[in-house]
Amino acid sequence: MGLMQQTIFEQAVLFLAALVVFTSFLMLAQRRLFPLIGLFAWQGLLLAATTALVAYNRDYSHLYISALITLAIKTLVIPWMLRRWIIQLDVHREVESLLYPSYVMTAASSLVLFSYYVVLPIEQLSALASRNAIAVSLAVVLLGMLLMITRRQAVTHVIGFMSIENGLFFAVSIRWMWTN
Amino acid sequence: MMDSRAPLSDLHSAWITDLRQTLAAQGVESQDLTGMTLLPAAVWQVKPDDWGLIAREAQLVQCRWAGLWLDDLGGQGFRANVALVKHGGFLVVRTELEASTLKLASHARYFPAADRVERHAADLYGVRFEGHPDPRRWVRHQAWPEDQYPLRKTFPAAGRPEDRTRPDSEYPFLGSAAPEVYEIPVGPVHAGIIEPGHFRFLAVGETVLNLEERLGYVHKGIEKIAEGRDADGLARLAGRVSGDSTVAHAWAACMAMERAYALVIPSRGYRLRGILAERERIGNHLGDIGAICNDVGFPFANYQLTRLREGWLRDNAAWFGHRLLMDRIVPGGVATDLRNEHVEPMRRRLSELATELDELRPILDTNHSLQDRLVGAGMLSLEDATSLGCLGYVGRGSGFDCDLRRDRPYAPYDELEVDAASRREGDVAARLNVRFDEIGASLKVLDQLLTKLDSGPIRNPWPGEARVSEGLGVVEGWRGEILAYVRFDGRGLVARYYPRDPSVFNWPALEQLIHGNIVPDFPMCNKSVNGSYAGHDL
Amino acid sequence: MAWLISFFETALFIALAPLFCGWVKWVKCLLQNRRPPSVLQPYRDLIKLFRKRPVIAAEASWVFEAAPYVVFVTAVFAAGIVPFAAHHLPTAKVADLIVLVGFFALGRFFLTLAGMDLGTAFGGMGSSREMMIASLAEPAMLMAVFTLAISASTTNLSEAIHWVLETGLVLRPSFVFALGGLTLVAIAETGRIPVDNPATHLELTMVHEAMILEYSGKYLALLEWGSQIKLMLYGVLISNIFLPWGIAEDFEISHLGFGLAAIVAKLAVLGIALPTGETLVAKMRVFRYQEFLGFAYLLSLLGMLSHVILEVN
Repeated sequence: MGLMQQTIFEQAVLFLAALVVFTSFLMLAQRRLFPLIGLFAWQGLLLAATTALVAYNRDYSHLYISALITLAIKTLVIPWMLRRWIIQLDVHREVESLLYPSYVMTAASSLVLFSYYVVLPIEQLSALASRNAIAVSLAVVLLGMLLMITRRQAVTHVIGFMSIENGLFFAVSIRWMWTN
Repeated sequence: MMDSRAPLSDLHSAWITDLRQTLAAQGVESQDLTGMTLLPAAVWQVKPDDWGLIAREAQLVQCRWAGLWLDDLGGQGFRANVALVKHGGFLVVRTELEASTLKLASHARYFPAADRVERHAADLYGVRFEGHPDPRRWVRHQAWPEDQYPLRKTFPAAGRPEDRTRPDSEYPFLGSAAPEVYEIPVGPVHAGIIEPGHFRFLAVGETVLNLEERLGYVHKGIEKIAEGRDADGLARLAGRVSGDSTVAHAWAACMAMERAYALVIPSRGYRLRGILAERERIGNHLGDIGAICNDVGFPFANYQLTRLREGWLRDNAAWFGHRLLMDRIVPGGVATDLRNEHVEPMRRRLSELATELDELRPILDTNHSLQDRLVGAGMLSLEDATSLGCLGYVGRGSGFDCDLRRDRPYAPYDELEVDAASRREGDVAARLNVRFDEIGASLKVLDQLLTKLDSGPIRNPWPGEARVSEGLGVVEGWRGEILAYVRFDGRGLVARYYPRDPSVFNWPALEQLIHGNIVPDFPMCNKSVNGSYAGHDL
Repeated sequence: MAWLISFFETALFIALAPLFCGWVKWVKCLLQNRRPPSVLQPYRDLIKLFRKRPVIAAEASWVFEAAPYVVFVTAVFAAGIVPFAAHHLPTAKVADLIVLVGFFALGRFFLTLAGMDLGTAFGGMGSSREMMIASLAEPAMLMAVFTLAISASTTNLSEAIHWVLETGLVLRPSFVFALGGLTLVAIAETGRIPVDNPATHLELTMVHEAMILEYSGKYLALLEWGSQIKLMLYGVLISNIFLPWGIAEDFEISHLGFGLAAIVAKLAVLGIALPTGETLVAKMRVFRYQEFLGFAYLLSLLGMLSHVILEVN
């Protein structure tokens, strides 16, 4: 089995990757703004944790800085600013109505599969785990896009956009795990 | 007291003068009895034939229809009274009816609020309301036959009961012929410890198409057994019209009797009445908020608020001698004084309660699963609230804002600042938040009352002489405005007592606000209205 | 010998089910600042109910009387399949996970029939809601079960547990998702908040309670006991599949004792987590069931996906 041949660190990174996708799904399902921001902060935290883990495991000290910046900006500053905006705009009691939540979820699951098959033929990413991790990042990007498409609120669009950015960042930081 | 002032200030009475001119232009002759009886309300006497016109014109000037009561004058025919309110000014229109032609034009066409009140009067007096949209019986089940009318003087107070009351199984509920419509009968016996009432749902799947209430299961004949009581006896009876509003009902009845006798009560007496009423309001709101949360499966809030309510009631018992403050208000003043050494503890409790609620309320406000249930459920539009004349938190939750303590302050509220809470959303959450806000407002009122509390007598003796007189008492109970009418017969005994509980106008609101909601949301919607069965059935 | 232990284990399971229920209630009381009844209270209630003479409506058919027995017996059989303190049991070889789901379905089928049998308004309402929940919960549960089955290459519970123990500590995202999905399904199936409120007296909001509203005496006792067993079954299932460590691998007395202590400890923890969650949230609207269980399905599906994408060669 693939997973069992990996080191515990590699397992942990893959585990975190799965959790990042999961937060993306939760964001798709969340119709209130404050919890949505909370989820975005969690995604940022998972990102920072992954980067820190890679930095520790591969001993790249510059990744620690990256992790710290992620932690500061994505889990603290941006969510805090979004919160303030929402309170200033007085939209925090609004509940967005989701059109066809089950269709959106089905589409989201298909996007995850799709990203997996897109990444499959990329030969250069020789290490299997690395390829899977890239698939996860692509999935996060696509889910962020789906979030932007299906919602109307400006704040949700901002969060969707930044979650796309999260996906790209994740791809970059996770690459360090399997490059020499 | 207010009675010593001018009967009606301009602000309150301008509309009454205008209405009178409009009606006069249409040939309605009315005899103005204002100032001669039922102070501080304006009183007109009209001909029975003009009864319907009054309602039509009153509706055009957007009056609130506030109650109807008949009176058997004992061989000299009957008298019908209707109360209309606007800007806090009360107008009572009355007409005399012959026993042979006991019929009136129905007001229900113009005021939906009149619907059940008229059916109540029809069942008990045998008066026919012409043009009534729904002439089914209402308060009469099977306890007395159709051709007998308990509130006529010829009917014995003990009634003529059969050995065993027949089951009331043939009430014509609104049905549906469509096979997919599911009819759900609920009650009159419910699983919780609540009063009896029957609810008939027509539902498609889980969505409620229609709800029909059937009340009258706790008809106790309050109006009948009030006859022949003295002032003290009536105050005790009034305190039992609806147990949770015992202070407010007793106060309204006492106010009516005191006005009938032009009795002034000492200032410490009415300030203590204010304290009692506000304590009743807070106690009930605490219980209600918890109960609403409990009905959506959030018992944490229920236990916390029940705990607060229990502490509150124990304080009532310690300081006033009764947990629910029953029989504390008596004709001429109050029965129990607040001892001076209890003032400081009460103040302390007020701030403690405020602190506790400041902790609890954010927990409820930020609990998404709870707000998800409460927000948007049981919407009552402002139009419905207005046309039904909804009172108290039900009206105020929908932006129909009437609070006597502010609109027409009676002693002691004329010397206090009252923040009347109001919301516009009209959903269960709005009614819950109005309750929270009212608790805050009442805490402030209590604080002011404690400051103003002077020393002195708490009760003036009831005058010995017997009078033929009548009085109207109106107070803001915790459920909303309570109106009480009392007429003395000249021997010092009560000839007619009519208490109008706010539930009379709030129960129909439940039928409206449940439309389009789902069946399992009914208990929560019902609790958010929390009408009194006993106060409605009388 | 193995059969004897298996039989004994099932009996112990059934006997302990009311205790677990009492524990959950006890913790819940404490969390809500109330003085809790004894954890043995469910036993007293059951004894009281067994002593009472049942009252049955004149219109009741045989289904009404048979349903409590069916519900109870399916619960007992299901308890027999699930490894409790030890695995490698002969009963586990007879029936696998799919059969377990089938037992639950059979019990529920009879319960909903019984709910409709008398033609009362509340019973029918409860049955229709129960079927709505079941139709949404079962796919999610099967999906979670399949995630496990694909990883372990077996649908046999005992072998699956053996496989988990064998491979040691591996961080499997698929298992976490499957655990999440199965937990949500368990909450829905055992009628806990936020799906159903087991403590409510409001007929109009009930699901499970509405179906058993007309039962009394020993029938009610069997139904109550059956649902207590079901609650504990889900607890044991979740803790033994996802955290099997401690379970006895053979039938040595000390190992069995340790296995028993381990499962009791795990259940005690679960019995704190469940009422804590219940205290924090309110019951959801009936039409939110679809979203809730849709989410459970999604979790199970994510489990499957992450297994395929991240874990397999």
